[in-house]
Amino acid sequence: MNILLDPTYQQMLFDGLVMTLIISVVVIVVSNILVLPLAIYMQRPKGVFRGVIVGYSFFARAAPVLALLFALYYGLPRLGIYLEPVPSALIGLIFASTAYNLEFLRSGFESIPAGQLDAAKALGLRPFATYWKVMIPQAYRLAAPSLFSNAIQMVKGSSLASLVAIDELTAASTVIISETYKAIEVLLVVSVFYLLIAAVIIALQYAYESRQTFGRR
Amino acid sequence: MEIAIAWLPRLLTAAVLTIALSAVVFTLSAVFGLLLSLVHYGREKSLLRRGIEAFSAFFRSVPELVVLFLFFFGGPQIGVDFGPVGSTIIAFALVGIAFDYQVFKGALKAIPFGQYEAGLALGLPKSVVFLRVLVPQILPLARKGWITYAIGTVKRMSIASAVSVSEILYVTKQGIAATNAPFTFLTLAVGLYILIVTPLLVFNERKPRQAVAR
Repeated sequence: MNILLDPTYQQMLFDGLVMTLIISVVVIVVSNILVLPLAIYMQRPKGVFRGVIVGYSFFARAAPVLALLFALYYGLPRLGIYLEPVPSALIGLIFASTAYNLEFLRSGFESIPAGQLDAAKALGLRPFATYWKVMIPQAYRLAAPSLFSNAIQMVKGSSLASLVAIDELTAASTVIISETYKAIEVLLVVSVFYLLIAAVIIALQYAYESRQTFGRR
Repeated sequence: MEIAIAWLPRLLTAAVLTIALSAVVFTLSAVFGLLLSLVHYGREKSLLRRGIEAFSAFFRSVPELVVLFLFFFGGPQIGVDFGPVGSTIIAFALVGIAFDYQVFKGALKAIPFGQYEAGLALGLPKSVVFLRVLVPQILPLARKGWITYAIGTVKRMSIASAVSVSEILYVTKQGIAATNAPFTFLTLAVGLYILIVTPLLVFNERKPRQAVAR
């Protein structure tokens, strides 16, 4: 295990962990912000952009994340767009994860009985108040388990960024393995880091769910 | 366009490999996931069950790429060379078993425990109670989560390109490197994935047949 006591390798793993955390947090936060207006828009029975959103959601969920990352990494320069690897990977990961979150939140909204909208209208609530006070809290409560488990998927997805030239945790491990040939030790340490990140997300989920004391089924 | 036609046979071969690997992983995941969910049925707090839960938590939290590397790079270190395809099957099957175990466990919870006890009280062997009473009921209940995961398996196979398994995305990458036409190849690749995945998606969206008499 002495390779893990080597300060150079410790520094590489630490830097990789920081990059993994940055990518994960940005992807989770941004995709959860983007998804709310999209999910609310999809509640309209007809809208000009419905078809576009449905098409986007299908495409983003049918294509492998890695193919999306390759498209941005190899494809954009061909179009004369030169992005740094990190923003390029972030766009790909956000593009994919938003589509999944959209489906979860949309089905959350759709599980709310339609009568509630009528009731809110009858009570004279404006559309904004109806959504903010009635629909959104319920939709999130229904979608929360899926949204949290998708957050773990996003952390796992960030490891794919190692294949498009980003020095995150998995990439750091492959560099150390190629120098030391100690694959098992290094990868188990890396696995523990990923387990800890997942544990934090699960703890957040429990904290969120224990605050939802009303309307338990 | 000529590039696309020239590379199409190789891409199609790659697609066949993707389908074959997915089918193997799907089968292993379903069979062992189901078996694990039936281990110590009704004794969820037993040590064995806690061990299975820990196994499942590990393989669901660690990225597939890391699990794949663990077998691909780690195998030779202990004197076992699994090779690219072997590592891929082992790694993805373990992750798949971890997921399918959770799906089947959830479905099993929806079935009253009394059915199992009733089966045993009637003198049926355990295996018959599992195979003829419980499994036929949990398969339709688990279908949605199970097939959703299976669809993901086809797409996740693209990760195997990292250990040079010549599935769709690996050939795509070679094509891009050889011809510098990224969009042609990625469009073909994504088109192939959509072709493979769409039947599963349609099957999954279909209204479930009433499999359990109410």
